[in-house]
Amino acid sequence: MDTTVLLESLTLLSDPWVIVFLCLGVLAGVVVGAMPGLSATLAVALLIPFTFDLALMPALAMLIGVYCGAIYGGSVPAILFRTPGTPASAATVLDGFVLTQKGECGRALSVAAFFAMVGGLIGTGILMFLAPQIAGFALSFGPPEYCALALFGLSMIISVSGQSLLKSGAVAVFGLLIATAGFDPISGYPRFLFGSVSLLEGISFIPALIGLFALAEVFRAFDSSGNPAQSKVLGLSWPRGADVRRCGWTGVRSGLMGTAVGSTPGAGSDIAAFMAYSVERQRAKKGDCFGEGEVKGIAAPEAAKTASISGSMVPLLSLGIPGDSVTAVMIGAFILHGVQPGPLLFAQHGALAYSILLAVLLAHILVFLVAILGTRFLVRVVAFERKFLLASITILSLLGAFALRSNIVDVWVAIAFGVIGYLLEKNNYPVAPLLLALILGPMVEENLRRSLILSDGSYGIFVSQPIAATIFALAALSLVYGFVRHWRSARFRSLTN
Amino acid sequence: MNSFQEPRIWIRYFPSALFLSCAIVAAIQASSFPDAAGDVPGPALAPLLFAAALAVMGVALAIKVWRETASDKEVVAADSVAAPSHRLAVLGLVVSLGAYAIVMPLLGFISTTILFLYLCLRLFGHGGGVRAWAFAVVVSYVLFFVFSFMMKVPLPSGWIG
Repeated sequence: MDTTVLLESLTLLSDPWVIVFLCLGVLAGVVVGAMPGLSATLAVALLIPFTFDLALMPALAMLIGVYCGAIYGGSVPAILFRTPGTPASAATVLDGFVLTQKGECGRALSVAAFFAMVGGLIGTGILMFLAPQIAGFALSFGPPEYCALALFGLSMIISVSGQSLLKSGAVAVFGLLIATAGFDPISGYPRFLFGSVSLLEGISFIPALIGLFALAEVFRAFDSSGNPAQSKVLGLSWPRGADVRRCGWTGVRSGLMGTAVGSTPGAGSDIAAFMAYSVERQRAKKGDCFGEGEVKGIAAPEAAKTASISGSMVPLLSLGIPGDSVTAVMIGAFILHGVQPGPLLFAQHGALAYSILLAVLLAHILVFLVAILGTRFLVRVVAFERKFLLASITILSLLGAFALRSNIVDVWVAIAFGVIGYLLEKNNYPVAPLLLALILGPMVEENLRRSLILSDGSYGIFVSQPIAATIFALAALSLVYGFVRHWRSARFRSLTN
Repeated sequence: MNSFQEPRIWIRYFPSALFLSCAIVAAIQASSFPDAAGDVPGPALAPLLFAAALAVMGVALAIKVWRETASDKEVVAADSVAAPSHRLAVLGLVVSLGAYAIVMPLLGFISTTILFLYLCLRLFGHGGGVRAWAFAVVVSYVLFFVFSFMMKVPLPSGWIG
């Protein structure tokens, strides 16, 4: 890394407002993530409107803080109430809650917070090395490669989402079709306006994501139960030296594994956490008691899930391809603030790119401090009456959609996507491919058309270019993998039935 | 088929019906888009491509649901169908959201939001009373302050405010 770029990025990050909003983001993320049923995606989606009026770097710092905070926050109710706040914290329940039952919830929380930081630091270290290298390689990409890359990102999320490849694929194509509304990217011809000039710029994806993830969550809440049971025991301390030594290598291994899993488009923190837990369980030595309150059973998923945050930032920052729903929301927020993630980010705005990476690093440390100092407060937040929480989410969603352009059409878009998202999920359709398709759709179409212009209308350009052909082959392979995965799980289900 | 099963079937066919209808509307509209010069495809290329793929997938999904329903192979999981009271609550919330979007620009942000929040709490099962009204008033004013003064978002003042 160039020293000048590093100094510039440190200068950007040292702005007091950046630090203030990073802290606020971490706090808000931990609070939202700690509320059962509210995911990290929802946390970022819900808090995007609060960044509209902020300068670029404070806004990005706040969103990064929210993302990192929410992923950790889910572990607090997982350990205290056996209710994971986010899917990524489900693996932490297995040993974390047993420790709480033994009256050692303070120990469980401190181990979780410490190894979440360890995993985050490992992941961010790798991210700082890897992202610029991949971005440098991707600088040679042309329209066929970008088209292939966008389709690869979509194919990955299709292959790992939901229980049926057909359902995930249909949702993604539906998103691609919706993304064609508005001005044609090449000729500027207006399409699918249905008499509304508000649709000239296309369907805005911020209201769409607020509807898909926040409003749909409110609708789903009618089918779920109320508040989690209260824990009587709460004591918090710094992590014990013996626990840190005992779980040291577990944390490092899980951090590396989480980074690798997170950097694969489509694989999120939940997969990383469960994978790390099962690997450590398989490696268990004499004296390790997984499932009975083993601290390694907390350290492994915590390190892996936070490392996967940094891992997921690799394709996001270097290629401009979001790997899962949270990074899809993040890329939307970046674009909203005028930052286009991708290879040119490192080439043209190196200082900004590195300050984003440094903000991720700092966010992981802040999450640890918030976790150590603020858990007593968090427990009260988790106990907040659910009816009031749902009403607050509903009005924040509507207001967030409206605040984007002060246009009531965006509120209607959020409501429509909320209903669609709810009904799709009722039928076991994943909604993440829909959001990703809305974001990647313009990239697919623009580069498809540019490629065809370059080749005078010949589709051969996609196989004659070696990089594009390789990426297309990878996309096809990921779909085959998805088909095999779904077929095997369906077979397993029918056998167990 | 009893009255409880009818909405269940409707809900299961909803995605394929949505995909098919969108594909048909998009294909009809896209067929009127202008052609580009020479061999280069015009603005209709992507919509037609995606509409065709979506139509095929929509038909395949409809057939899948029909086969599953006809052979009773798939037992609908309890959580995939909301109980009638839940369905009514969801419907009530959707109607309230729509009403809020219509009324808010006319009556103004604060008054509409207070009423909307109180209604939301009742829909979520709260008994109402002073606590619910207090929550609605406090949240409405806090949000108005945050969005209007701190974030400079022009919120409608309407007839009432």
